[in-house]
Amino acid sequence: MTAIPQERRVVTAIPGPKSVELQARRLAAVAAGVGSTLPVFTARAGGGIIEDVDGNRLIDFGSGIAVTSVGASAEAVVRRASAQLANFTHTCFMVTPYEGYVEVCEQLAELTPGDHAKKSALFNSGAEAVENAVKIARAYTRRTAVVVFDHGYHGRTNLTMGMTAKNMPYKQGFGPFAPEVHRVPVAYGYRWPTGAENAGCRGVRAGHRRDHQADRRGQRRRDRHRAGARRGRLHRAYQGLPPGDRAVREGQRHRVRRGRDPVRLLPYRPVVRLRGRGHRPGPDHHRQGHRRMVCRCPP
Amino acid sequence: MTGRAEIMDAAHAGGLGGTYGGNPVACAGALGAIETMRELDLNGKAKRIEEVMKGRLAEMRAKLPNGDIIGDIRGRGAMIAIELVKSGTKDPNPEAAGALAKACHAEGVMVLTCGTYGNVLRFLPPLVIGEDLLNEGLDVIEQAFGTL
Repeated sequence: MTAIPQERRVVTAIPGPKSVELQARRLAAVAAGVGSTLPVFTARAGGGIIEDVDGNRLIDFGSGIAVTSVGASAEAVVRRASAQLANFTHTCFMVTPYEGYVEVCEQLAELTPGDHAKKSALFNSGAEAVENAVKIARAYTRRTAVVVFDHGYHGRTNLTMGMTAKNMPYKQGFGPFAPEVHRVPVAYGYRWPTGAENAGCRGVRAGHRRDHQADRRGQRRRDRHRAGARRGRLHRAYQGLPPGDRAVREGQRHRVRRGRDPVRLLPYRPVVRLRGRGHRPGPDHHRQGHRRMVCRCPP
Repeated sequence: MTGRAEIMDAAHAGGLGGTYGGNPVACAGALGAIETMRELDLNGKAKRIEEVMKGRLAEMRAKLPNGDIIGDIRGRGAMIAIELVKSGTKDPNPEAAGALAKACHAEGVMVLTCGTYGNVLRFLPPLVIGEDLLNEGLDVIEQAFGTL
């Protein structure tokens, strides 16, 4: 299946001298925001082994983040992709289509669960697929809001970044985020206060958040504080008031809510009551990093 | 992206797509991957990897002197993770996750860290990995606990 011997072999320090050299070039040429778990440069990979430029063979427990399930140089993949490369590399399916696209969609219909009629569309990345899943769901349901599970990762594009739970490294400083994303606490059995078998039950949501998400809540509070301070400055500027005016600041929230958004110069959407359990946050809340399903700020 | 035909057809013609999405080389590669998965019954292999990994990790938790920092062993198929905590608590222990990953890397085993609290060590071996190699990787992880 692969020419690379399936054995672990460490012949230099990790990373080795050639990798260190390449890492220096990388630091000079590649943007710092793109990280690597381990700066060991790959020469070839296959089966369960990654061989680096220094001749070390690492056991691969990463699969390029769960991508190369069939190994990084599976015979059938290499054979079919090579043949395709020799025929043509690109036409754009939207310009002149080709059989491979159709065949992949047929295979997906056969392999995915359910015996109902299925169709597929192919995209460049997971994030792009998630973006399109939201577009399709919106077109089908004619509803705009998206509910995501807490702790989930969805991608790094603007919408999927907003859907992703973790702030660092995915979101910090990259806002504003797409609106209409609501996060529900679920899918973390180990840290569910009443045990994994009760994960998702409604009664303990508040406690769950309080106990286990303090760090993220703190981050959001800091984000909100910054957004609020900025809004306050803008609001005072809008009214022609001096910066830091205490009386204005105290009354500000009320007046700003009734008035117009000084940033966007649009009327605020009125607060909507939701079955007496608080109210649904308007779009301005999202801009402040406010993501509760049911808002707790004063009505 | 695959879904029910009536839902997938909801978007108007021309509403989906992209210049490069589903490019022919990627499609050929995908068909090769599907062929391999069928041929080698990699679904079955994934279940076997889960059995081996969860068994070995549970053994480490019970046997190792600092095994109680493994708060949780979870995952499905060949996507397995351990959540590391401070001994006797559920407090996240990202330092241990970082140190274990570093020790594994130095010994030639590629592992990844993740989690909201950065305290999860995750293992995503390719489904084609040999069982000897899988066990050797787990041996290295076991030894890494001794370096903490």
